[in-house]
Parts: sequence; C-alpha cells; structure tokens
Amino acid sequence: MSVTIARRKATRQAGVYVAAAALAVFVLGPIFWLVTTSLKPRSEVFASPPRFLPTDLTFANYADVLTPDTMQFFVNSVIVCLGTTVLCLAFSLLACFTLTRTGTRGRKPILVGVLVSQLLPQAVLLVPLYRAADTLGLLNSRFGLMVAFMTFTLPVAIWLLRGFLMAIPMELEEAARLDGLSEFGAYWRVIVPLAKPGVAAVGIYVFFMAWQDFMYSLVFLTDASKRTLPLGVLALIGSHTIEWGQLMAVSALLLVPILLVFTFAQRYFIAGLTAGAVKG
Amino acid sequence: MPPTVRTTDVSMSVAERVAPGQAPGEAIAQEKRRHRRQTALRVLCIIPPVALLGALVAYPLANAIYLSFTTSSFINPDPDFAGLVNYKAILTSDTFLTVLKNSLIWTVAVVAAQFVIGLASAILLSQKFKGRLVLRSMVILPWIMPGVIAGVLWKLLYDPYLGPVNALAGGLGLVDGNPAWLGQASTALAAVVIAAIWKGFPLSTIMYMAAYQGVPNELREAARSDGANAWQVFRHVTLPAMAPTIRTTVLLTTVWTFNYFDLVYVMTAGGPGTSTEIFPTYIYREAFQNVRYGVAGAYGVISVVLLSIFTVVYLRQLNKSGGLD
Amino acid sequence: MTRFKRPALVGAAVLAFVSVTTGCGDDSDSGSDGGGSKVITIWDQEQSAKDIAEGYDTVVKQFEKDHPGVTVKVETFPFAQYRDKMLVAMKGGTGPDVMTLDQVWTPEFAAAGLIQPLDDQIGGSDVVKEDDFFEGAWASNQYQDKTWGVPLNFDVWEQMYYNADLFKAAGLDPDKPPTTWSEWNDAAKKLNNPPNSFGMGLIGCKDESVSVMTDSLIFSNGGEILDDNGDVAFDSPENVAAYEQYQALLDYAPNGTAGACEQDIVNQFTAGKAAMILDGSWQQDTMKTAAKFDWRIALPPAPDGEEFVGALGGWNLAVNAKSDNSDLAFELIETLSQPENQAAVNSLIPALQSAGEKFVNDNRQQPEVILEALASGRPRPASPVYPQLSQVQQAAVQDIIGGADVKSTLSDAADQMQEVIDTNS
Repeated sequence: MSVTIARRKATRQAGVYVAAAALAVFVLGPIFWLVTTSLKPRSEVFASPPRFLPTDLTFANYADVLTPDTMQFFVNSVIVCLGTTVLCLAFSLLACFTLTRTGTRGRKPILVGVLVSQLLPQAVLLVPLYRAADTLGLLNSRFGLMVAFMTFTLPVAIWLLRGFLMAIPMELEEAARLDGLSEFGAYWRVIVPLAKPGVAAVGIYVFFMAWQDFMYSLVFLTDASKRTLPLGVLALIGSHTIEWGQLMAVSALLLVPILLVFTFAQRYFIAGLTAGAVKG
Repeated sequence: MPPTVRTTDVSMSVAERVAPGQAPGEAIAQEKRRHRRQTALRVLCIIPPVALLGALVAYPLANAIYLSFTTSSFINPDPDFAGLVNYKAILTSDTFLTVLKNSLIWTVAVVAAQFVIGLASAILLSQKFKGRLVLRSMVILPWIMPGVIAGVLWKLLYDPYLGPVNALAGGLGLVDGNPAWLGQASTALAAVVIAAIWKGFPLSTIMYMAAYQGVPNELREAARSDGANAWQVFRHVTLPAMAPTIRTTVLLTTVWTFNYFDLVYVMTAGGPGTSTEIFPTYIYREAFQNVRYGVAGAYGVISVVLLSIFTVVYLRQLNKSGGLD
Repeated sequence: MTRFKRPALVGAAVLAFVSVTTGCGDDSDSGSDGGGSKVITIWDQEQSAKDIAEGYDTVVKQFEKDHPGVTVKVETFPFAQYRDKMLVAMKGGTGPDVMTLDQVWTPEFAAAGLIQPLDDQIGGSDVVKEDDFFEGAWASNQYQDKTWGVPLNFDVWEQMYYNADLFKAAGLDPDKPPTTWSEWNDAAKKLNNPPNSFGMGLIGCKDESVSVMTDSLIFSNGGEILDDNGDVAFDSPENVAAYEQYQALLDYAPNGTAGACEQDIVNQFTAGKAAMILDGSWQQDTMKTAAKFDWRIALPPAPDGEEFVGALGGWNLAVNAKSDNSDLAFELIETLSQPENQAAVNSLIPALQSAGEKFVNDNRQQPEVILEALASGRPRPASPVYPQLSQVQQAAVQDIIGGADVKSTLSDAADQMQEVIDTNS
C-alpha cells in the first residue's frame, strides 16, 4: 500500500517540478534575452544566426546608462508612485467606509459608476484632462501627476479594497460598536487595521500601475528634471536610431529594485490577498 | 459557500437604548439625530473620492461625447455640429467591423489564457517544492516591465531571422523557414496576444494564489474524508471558495485588456493592414495622427458603451449568484 | 472630539508627505515671472548624441549674454512621443515659445492657427535670409503664400547602402552598383540567396517612413502625390509603374516586409541578411559601428532613362501663435540660424547651406552623392492634412505588399485621398 502511495507522491512531485520548469522558462525566457542583449555590443545584438550568449561580453551599456539623469528619473518615479499610492489609499479608504455600509442607498450605482469611470480610452481622455489640469494649476508638477494618476488607479483600488474590507467578519465590527465606538471609529480603528495586509496588497497594485505609465508623465510634465523613468527609457528610441544595448540595460536596472521590493513584500502581499479572499 | 448577508446597521431597538429616566419620545428624537449624523458622515466620506473622479473623468467624458457630434479636428478649431454623422460613418465602415472583431478576439483570448495560466501557476506555486520562493518572486517580472519595453523586447524576439523565437522553433523542427510572426496578417494578432498573455498573467497568478491559499484546509479535509478525489475536491470545494476573487479578477482583466494600448502599438501599430487594429490603437491614431477629435470621440464613446454593457451584464450575473452583496 | 483626531492626523500627515516630496507648486511653460526676467522656452526632440545638449548650452549662453534678463529653457522629448506632447500641450492652450516641427507638420500647425507667420520678422532680419538656406528646406515652410518657420535641418531619404562582400560573392562588381531599375532587379535577383541572404531590404510597416521611401520611387519616375493645383494625382501611370517596381523588388526581400520599419531593415543589413537597403545618410554612424563588412553607398537606381529624385525631409523652427515674447522668440531663431550654432545643435544636416555643406563634407562618406541628392530632391506635399494622406498611402502599400493589384489599389487610395482633401477644405 505504502509503496504505491510513495510512487504516486514521487510522480506527483516530478510533475510539479516539470510544471515549475515550464513556468520558469515561460516567464524568464524573454528576460534572459533582455539581459543578454544588454551585455552585447551593437554588432552582436542583431546577428545571423542569433547569439544566445554574448561572445563579446561588455558592460559598456550599463556604464552608459548609469548617469545622474537616470538616477533622477528613478527617484522621480519612486516619489510619484509612492505619492500616488498614499493618495489613492487615502481616497479609497474614505470611499470604502461608505461603500461597506449595507444601509447606504446608492451604493451599487456608485460602485458601477466608479468602474465605468475607468473605461474611457486614454487617447480621448488626455486633451480635456490636460486642460482641466492646467486650470487647476497641476501641470508640470509631480503632485499634479499623482492626481492625474487617480483616473486609472482609484477606481480599481476602491473595488479591490472593498473586497478585502467586506471579508472582515461582521462580528468584529459588532463587538466594536457594542464597546461604544462610533460607526466610523469601528471602521477606522478595528476593521481597517485588520485589513492591513489587504491595504498593503492594494497599495502594491497601485504602485505598479503607476510605475508603468509613460503617457501621463509625458503629457503632464515638461521639466526634464521631473520626469519618470519610463520616459528616460523612451529617450533611447530616437528618430532613426535605437540604442538597443542601453535600452535593455536600463530596463534590466529598472526591474531589479522592484524585484527586490516585491520579494521582501511578498510575505505581506500574499497574506493580504489571502485575507481578502476568504469571503467575497 | 452561501453568501451571508452582511449588515452594518448594528441597531438596537429603541426600547433597549432608552436611558433610565428618559422619555421614549426623547429617545426616538435622539435616535433620529444619531441616524442623521451617521448618514451625514457616510456622505461626507464618499464625496471627496467621487468628486475627484468626477472632476478627472466626467469632464473628459462629457467633452468626448460633445466632440463626437461635431466635425472637430486639429485644423478645424471651430467645430460644427454634425449630429450623428461620425457615428453613421463609423458604424457602416468595414474598418469598424474589423476593429470590433480584433478587439473581441484580443480581449477574450488574453483574458481566458491569463485566467487559465494564472490559475494553474497559482496552484503550482502553492505546492511545496525547492525553489518555490524564488519562482514566486520571479513570476512578477513580466507584469512590472513597462509596456513599451515589453513591446520592444517581444519585437526583438519575433524577428524572423535575427530573433530567438524562430531560431528555437526552427531548431526544434516546429516551424519551417522564417515566418514573420508580426509581419503577416495571418499571425500578427496571435503573436501580440501571446506577448500580452506573458505580460499580464502574473497579476492573475498572485490574486489566485492568495485565494487558493485562503481556502480553509478543514473544508478540503472534510471533503477528502468523504471520499472525494483531488479533482473533485478542487471542483467542489476549492473553486467555489475562490469564485469571488476569480470574478473580480476576470472583470478587471477584461476592462484593462480591452483598453490596453502600449504593447500592441509598439509591436505592430495596428498592422499589417488592419490585422491587429484594436480600439485603443485606432482611437490613438485618430486622436494623435489624423487629429480628428470628432471621430476619435465617437470611437471612444462607442468603446465606453461596449465596455459598459459588458460590465453591467457581468455584474448582474454576479448579483444573481449573490457575489456583489 | 477624539474620534476625529486620528483620521485628521492621518490626513494631515498624508498632505504633508505629499507636498514635501513634490516640492512647491508648478512651473509655467512660458511667459514671464513676476521678478521682471523673461523666460523663453524651446522644445525639440531628444538627440542621443551628447554633444547636441552641449551645443544647445552654448547657444543658450550666447543668447542670454546678448539679452540680459532673459532665460532660455530648452526642453527635449523622446522622438516617438514628441508629436503627442506637442498636440496635447498646444491644443490645451500652453506650449513653448519656439518649437521644432517636422516639415510635413508645418502646414498642419499653420492651418490650425497654432504658429505665427514670420514674413515680417524675416523681412526685417539681417540673419535669416532665404538664399542662405537650401531651397527645398525653405520651401517646406511656405503655406498659403506665407512663411511659417525657419529651417533647422534638412536631409533626403534614400541613399542606397550595399554590401560589397555579398556583391562579390554573387559575381557582381561592387564598384559598379546598379543605376537603373532594370539593373536593380537583376542585381537583387543575383544577390537573392534565401535564407542566408536576400537581395533587398524594403521598408513596409505602417509608418511615415514607408511613405517617404516609396515617394522616392514615385518622384524618380516623374509621378507625384498632389499636383500643382493640389488635386490628387496618386493613381497616375507613373505612380503605378513605381509601385510595380516596389512589388517586383518584394520578391527579393526577406519575410515580414509588411512589418519592417527602418530599424528592421538596418538590422537586416548590418547582420548581412539584406544586400541592399535604402536609408538616409544619417544611418552612416550606425553602419560604422555595427556593419562589420565592406559597406558602401551609392545614389539609388532610377528608372531607365531618368534621374534619381529623393524625397526630402527635415525640421523647421516655428513660433507659437500664443507666445508672449514673439520678438525674443524670433531672435532665438536668428541665433540658431547662425552657421556655428546650426552645426552645434544638429545631428542631421543643417539647413543653412554653408553649414550643411561643411557638415556633409566633414561627417559623411561620399558627400558629393548626398549633396547631389539634396539638390535634386522633392518635398512631400505641403498639405494641412498630410498625415491623413500619408495614412492612406501607408494602407495602400500594405495592400500592395499583400499582393493586391497595384492599379486598383492606387485608384482606391486616390479616391480616399480626394475625400480627405474635400472634407477638409
């Protein structure tokens, strides 16, 4: 009996490793090409047949992109994305207070409305949004950019956060109320802290959504000193020339710190999503 | 799991709240005041976010709708009201049907594949094996790469003579010659779909991983002790427990994919011909190359209407199965 | 009340954090600030060559010294996003005082009323004189009998780059590249050795570059897109023959022409995959680093009995119609139009003839070939709806690559172009 079970377990483990290998290849294959290209001189980037490993390994591309400007872009990206996350979480926590109260009328229309507001295509959104930002004095400032980012981060944040908050058992809220806390007090002091992992998860999602953007940064910022990293990367794509090696190098550099942060934050992120997923 | 009705109106009966020595009428009045304050606070909290979104989105949306009824373009700064001219022209054009078809194929294929791969990888990454933690961290990489860089990278990969896809596929005997995946109308859409799946699936993986791990083990144990095999446990215990997360993720992924611009534009700009022309690329072209605000606005409105219909229908389905509450 | 204290504190902390990390306020793009000093902004594309940024610094320093109390801000943007940025900013009511505009955008911006005519200022200028510039460059600023900009740089699409090593291997004399279309097809056939190498790398992707490149075929054959009256002449017999030549060359091109942009054919060439390509003289720098074989250039082949005519391109300097400092803006343009400065800020050929000729002679191989092509080149149509016309052209080329009949494709395209012009006049 135990031999069959052991064999079944071994086959199962083997299957798991095969699947894991397949996933690793799928995810990392293109990344491998990115990294090797960043280590190639221009003459090797496009070779026939393609070279999987650089024969003329060079770090020149990395040296070329590690400039003070790149550092500035990186810092700007971090500032803008952090600020966006804080702003977005603040607004969505406020919104979720009302949206988690079952007694609130108009809850469903608001939720649907929030989602619909996310639907407008960027190309159509940009010019009027720009004009609105100009009127409000939000142009060419990183703060203005954070506000503009609300258009595509806030709706999703509200939806996701609400899911996590609704998962907190109501008995805990009832207990808090019976202890004499007001409705908002119960929300703020009991429910939200319990949903901290979920809040962190939504925060990370918002951060990454903001991290990717280049269109808004391009349109709303003018000063080169305020630009975010994706714009710095796009500068390597010229009208007639593309600096392939440098492009790949800076992209690789872009990925590393985020990967580190995510690895560290993974503990909270996964746990956070777990908490929210117990109950829809 | 049957949805439990959640209520936050923790209200005691008035009788229970009457303080000693207090007249009942006074207690009722006090109750009414408390209720009003409660409502006022709820309204106060929802106003800033809604106002912000309204200011940011309502004006552009209204502007787009207004422009869609005009002949506004870059070189025509004083737009003439033209009624439904733009809509008529769009809805009767062949291009619109192509864009619609491509957008549907694009969205459905990417969302479905991201769901399957996301779910499979989530389950995989929840098993115990050596290197699991490393793989779990690595899996986020495609998602955090900015779309334009991913597009440039995949264009490199797909190069018919100088890229690794054909080198590998040819070497393994899977493919004959050097097909230009992005340069042929017959394969371009599939090629960008694959790139998009790679780019976006990690989000689904993470969401489903959390949901999967959130299913209480007791439930699984109970089912297994009832004689269920692994597949039955998955089908009847795990999957239903993950349902709320799945529903939300699929909804968000659909909306997000439908409007996703960066990747396709960098890889093919909507070509060859119109084989990868989807709503976002077509709208971008009208708004920024041809600079015809009226036409772009009309396309934008149609796009919003399509997505809204989907959203409302989807949510109504959710409501029926009690998912939104 | 205690229950409001914590949320309020948190709210205050959020605001404090946000304002501290972003610094105070915003800057305006142009105009003067209260202190009495004026600010002029100029926008351009990013150039990856580092010395261009230094070139601009020199110009700015010189200008600020000559105009005390004036600050010049130079802002550059990535090429692919430059048009988007300009459109949003200017349509949104802001924008720089001075900007570089692609030649084919100049009539468009003029018709939109976003740039100002400069005839008066040019008339009164000692520095900016029509005769000093290349003729084609100056002409690209003319629209409805007014001058809307001053040329900054100028170039011609197409030189023919060819791989002498592959020529020798195919039994062709690398010192005698093809000069006529029939010789061209012969050479391409001989050089065609799939899948190791191909005769010709052709641009075909949905991009302005395919319009410009095929324009040289059209122009060399005596065709045009719009005739002198501004009517569509896209389906003329000369154009049909030109696109049939393009279709003939497709037989000797690698897979994927419909998705091949300028970058792709350059990569094919440097990897030794394509024996011949058409590209501008600007690509010589890349060839020097990336092409590890004997590469040469020549004037592209012309139809039998005709001369080669290239399609011209380049960038102009224009002044924002809403600028508060138009006079200063024009003076900045004057400064940029001086020979040393033109050379310093350009990685393409300066539009000032003296500076341009010097640039070509100093930096390019076979300068006489380039200068000849510059002199005989033709511009693309100066139409406010040129981007839309080009779109139609690009779609037509895509169909032709797919094997469609050239005559009917061009005929349909001509109808669409006429419709574009009619609806916009």
